[in-house]
Amino acid sequence: MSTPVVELQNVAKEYGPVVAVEDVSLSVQKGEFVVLLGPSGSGKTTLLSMLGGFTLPTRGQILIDGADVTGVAPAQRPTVTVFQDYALFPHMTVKDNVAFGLAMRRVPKPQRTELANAALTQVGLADFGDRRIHEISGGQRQRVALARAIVIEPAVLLLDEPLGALDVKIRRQMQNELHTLQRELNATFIHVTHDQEEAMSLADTIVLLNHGRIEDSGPPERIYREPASVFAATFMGDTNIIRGTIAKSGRGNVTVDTALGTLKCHGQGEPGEAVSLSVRPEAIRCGAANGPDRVKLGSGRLSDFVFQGTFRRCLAATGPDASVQLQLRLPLDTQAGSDAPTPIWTRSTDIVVLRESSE
Amino acid sequence: MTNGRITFPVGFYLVVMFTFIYLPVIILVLFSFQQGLLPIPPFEGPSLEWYTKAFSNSRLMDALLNSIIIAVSSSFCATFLGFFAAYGIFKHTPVGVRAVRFVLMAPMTVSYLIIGLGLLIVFNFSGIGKSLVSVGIAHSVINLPICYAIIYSQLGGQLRNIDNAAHDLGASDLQTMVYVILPTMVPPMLAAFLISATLSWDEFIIAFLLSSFDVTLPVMIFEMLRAGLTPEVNAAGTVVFAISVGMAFLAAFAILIRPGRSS
Amino acid sequence: MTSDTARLGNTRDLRIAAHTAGGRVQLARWIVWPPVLFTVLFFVVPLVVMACVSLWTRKHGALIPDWTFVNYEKFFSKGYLRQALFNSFEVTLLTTAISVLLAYPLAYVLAFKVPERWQRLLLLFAVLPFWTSYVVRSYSWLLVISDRGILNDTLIGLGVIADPLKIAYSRAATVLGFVHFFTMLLTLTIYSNLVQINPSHLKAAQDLGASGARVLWYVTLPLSLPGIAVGAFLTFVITIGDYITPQILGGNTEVLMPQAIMLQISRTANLPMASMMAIILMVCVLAVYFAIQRHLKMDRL
Repeated sequence: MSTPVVELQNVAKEYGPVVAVEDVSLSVQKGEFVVLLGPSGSGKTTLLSMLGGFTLPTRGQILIDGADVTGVAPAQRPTVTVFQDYALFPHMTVKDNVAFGLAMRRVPKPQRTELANAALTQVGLADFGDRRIHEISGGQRQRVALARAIVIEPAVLLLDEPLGALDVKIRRQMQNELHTLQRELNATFIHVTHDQEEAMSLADTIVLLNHGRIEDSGPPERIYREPASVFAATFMGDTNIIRGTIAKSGRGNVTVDTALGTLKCHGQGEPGEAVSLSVRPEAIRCGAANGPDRVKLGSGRLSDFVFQGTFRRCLAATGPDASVQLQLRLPLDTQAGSDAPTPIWTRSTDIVVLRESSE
Repeated sequence: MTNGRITFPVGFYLVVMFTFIYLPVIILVLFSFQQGLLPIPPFEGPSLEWYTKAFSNSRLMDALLNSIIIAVSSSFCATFLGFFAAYGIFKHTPVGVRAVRFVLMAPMTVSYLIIGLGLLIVFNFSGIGKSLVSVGIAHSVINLPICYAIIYSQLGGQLRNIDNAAHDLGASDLQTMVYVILPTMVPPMLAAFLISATLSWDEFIIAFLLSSFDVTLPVMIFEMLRAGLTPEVNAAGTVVFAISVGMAFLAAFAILIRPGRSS
Repeated sequence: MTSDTARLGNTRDLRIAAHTAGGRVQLARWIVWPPVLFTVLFFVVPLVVMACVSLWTRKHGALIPDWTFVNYEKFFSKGYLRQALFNSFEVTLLTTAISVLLAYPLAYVLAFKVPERWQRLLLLFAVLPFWTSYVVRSYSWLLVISDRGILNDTLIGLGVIADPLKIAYSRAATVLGFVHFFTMLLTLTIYSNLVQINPSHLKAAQDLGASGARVLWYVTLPLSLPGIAVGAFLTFVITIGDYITPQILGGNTEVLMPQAIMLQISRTANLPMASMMAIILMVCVLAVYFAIQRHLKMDRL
């Protein structure tokens, strides 16, 4: 890949004794859609605010297009932020809002109108230019905010939970449009959200943050399939965590002693090391475990069936004295009923070994 | 707690209290239409005789004009100074913001008489002397904290991001203020202006201390009182009251329009 | 793809323009200082000068900066000056007490006994005459209570009294004028406090078996104390510094502090004495403020 368009080097932000962001390094390629994902208080918004120039980092450097912009004011950065509450100017029309950045750059009026109309067309609001801000809906405001940002063609577009205030249906639709828009513009988007589904549907790269640090970063599928930490595994969808100790290791495989018995799986580790095993609910099956890569998880009684549309969610109490509860997602044709314990199993490739040091 | 109706005892009590509150106003207005020489019972009239007299009293009309000029100019100053203070603190919490706020709000805690006396001494010493300009400056001093407080209370929330967005799109500080913040802040600034104008319009003691030959309306009315009670004072007082109430109503209306709300 | 390159070229121009736009003076950093300077120049400096002048004396029509406490000594040794302060305190306390007693029931009735849709309108009308200048308001009361005014005229007409009540030009008239004004102010502060009381507190108290009077005494009244405190403090501050109401309504029967100060200014042009009394008045207000400071929650209004 070429030189990164955005580079963060050991960036930290402290508010007195409170650490909002603790030593984050990150690089973003041109044309990449990056999603900063994390629970509230994880530092994702602070990070975006430092990228936009609204917050000064306590330590570290921020480079955009290879130039150090750490202390540069928002106006002089090639970034534009789309705010969570859109921050549209209430006294101006839609078109005047969109043309504002151009006017500040002394773009002549005819050209300004042309570019603003083009941007509005791009977000599907071609006929809304003369409306007032209070005359349009939440989703439309969102688009105006986008148009206002893209019209000045920033090198990087920063989006601060832009879909947070919209209801579910419009949010889905806007996610698709955002994705298309980013591809059309071939621009770099950095988007903040706490919604992992939104992150997965938008991102080329997810940067998962927790307590001001990067827990994991990479393509959504990789993070889902092979999370780097227990936090990453639990935050990106549902999972079952089984604790244990490595008994043997070698040739990319480890054997782990757990409450469910000794489980063989792919992974690294030293014998005697405490690890957590993550198994996604949909990776657990019922029935006899016949096959070389199948790992028995004991047998248990299935209970608490919940119909979820595309699958049935249920719980299996397994292990000694049924002390371990696992979450399962079973096909819809699975029938709830028998009180008899059912054997359950998973593939060794579906078990992710998470070393405690990575927590 | 209420079942949608006013009970008889409550209604009776309200009538008594409102009579107490409105008695002087009603008497003032009623006897401004008096036909006799004195504003006391029995009421004869109605007649506009005293209004005609008041409006042809050139000293009174000069005072009316002076009051309007002072109310408008001092409120204009106070509103913009108040906006500068509020916006400055909102944008960049300055060094020693507690001290800055204390100084800005301090004039509200001191009696007008004391502020007036202090200015009288300083204006005498510095040779500025007593004039309508002195009164205007003093009225700006007493109204600045009120304007600052009203305008500051309406900054914040959405305005913060709107301000950030303007900068982000390349606007300078001045452009942000002129094109974005000032237009959004028109309603609270209008309210601040009107409240300030009402207070200046009604203010007596500072105007009395700091004016010389050219006086404001309240000072003029006070001087007319020395000649005793006459319906002409009632007529002038009614006009003062009507204008005050009009401005207060407009201010209340302006406060109801909140800035930065796009919905 | 000519249009693309054209737009890219355009982009670069836009960025350069944005870069040059930011190099100006940071307006927002100094904008706060003109109003602060204005207040310092025309409020802080005059007060400091006044404090200094209070330590000067006036001899043969000229001010002599001799830095002495002789004015303050005079204040405490001359009975008629001290008396002005006592009178002021008495009138102020009387005004505050009566105003609270009159305003509380009115605010209570407006908040709890009047249907909600009428409340705001009635409140607005209850405070409307508030916006009359002191001069006009005091003058209006003079019309009501003068010997041949509407009050005496009515009472005599009804046969309640034979001779007119001598209310005008007395302390009673001053207090009446003040009470009228502050009943409106206090109604406003107490009402805005009462409507903030969570109705479930009152329901809970009733639910627990408290009678109406007990709810008022043990729940509503304590919860509305902040509103009373703020209103009473404002009443105190404004009353003790007001010149016009006692001057018009009280006549020359007794002298209050502001009148005493004005006498020094207008009769003898003795600015040092006037300054000294202004300082004493200010100190009294500050002392009261600090004494009840923690009970005042001005932002609750």
